[in-house]
Amino acid sequence: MGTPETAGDVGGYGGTLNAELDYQFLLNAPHQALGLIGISTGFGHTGRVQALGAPDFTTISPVIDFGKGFGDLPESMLWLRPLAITGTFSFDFPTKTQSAGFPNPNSFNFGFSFQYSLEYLQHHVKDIGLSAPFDRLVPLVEVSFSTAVNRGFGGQTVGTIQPGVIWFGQYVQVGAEAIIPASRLAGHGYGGVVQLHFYLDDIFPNSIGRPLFRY
Amino acid sequence: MRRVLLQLLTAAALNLPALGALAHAFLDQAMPPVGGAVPASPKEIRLTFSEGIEPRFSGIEIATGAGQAIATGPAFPDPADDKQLVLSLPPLAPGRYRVSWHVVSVDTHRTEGDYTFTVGR
Repeated sequence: MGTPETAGDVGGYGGTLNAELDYQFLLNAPHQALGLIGISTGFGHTGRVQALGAPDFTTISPVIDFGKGFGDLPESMLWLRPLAITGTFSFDFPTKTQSAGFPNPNSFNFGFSFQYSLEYLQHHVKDIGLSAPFDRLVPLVEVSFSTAVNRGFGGQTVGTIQPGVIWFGQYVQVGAEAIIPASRLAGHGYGGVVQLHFYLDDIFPNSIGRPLFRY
Repeated sequence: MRRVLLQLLTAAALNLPALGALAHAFLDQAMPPVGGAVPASPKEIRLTFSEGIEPRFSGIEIATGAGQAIATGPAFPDPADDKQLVLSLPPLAPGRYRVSWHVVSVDTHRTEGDYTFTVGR
């Protein structure tokens, strides 16, 4: 569970550039809890507007994120201690009320993840004999919903449930999730998403991964 | 309608909270084992991490199950393996103990953790 005070990312559907600035208002290490508030911005005209439907407007979104690990449960509940829950709530404010004749409604978004870290189980709770690669697996389920609140689309909700697994190694992290529609408007088709992260500072420890100051 | 649905779907997708990159230095092996038991007092705690560590910024502490710290010397790296951190122990009475560790890996990432083990039961 990361504890960034600022964060940013480049991505989004249609290749939109997104950036987020967060303030960590809660960090309780003994109880494995943290909370962040922030502002996320999806910049208009930074994706492929015509080809992929990326927005031609900027969206500003106040965000609240939280995370809670259950490693502080009593040792008698050892099988529950590797569990963690994260969540995020946000409200989207498009800077244009409509694009190409279609409205851009404000929307309320929320998402949760339920994660079970086999790494935490094996190396922090009880040695059950898991070895690589299984001691680096995190099975998880994510749920995410977005509800329009105005401009003729009030109450329209799109939601998905995404069961999957993350594996993390020394140099890379791979995540794969199925996408299951969880609302009528999300349709009936199933999908999937795969993410691959490279730890560039570990891959290139003597260049971009080298500390600026030794001590 | 399709455009609004795409916006909502994008908002929902960007709202997924989990798939961020995880940290780097992890505990690979522990002796005594995590959550395990040993028949007699161990002479040392030996932790092996997934990558080399900076001994100046790394350490191991041990306490009884009731939380009383046990006096030890500082933890030291294994001269033959910069992934290993060792803590020499005084004789431990039978009972449960909590090991707390913190390390800074050679690429400056800090990680920490703790676990328990039992002596003589």
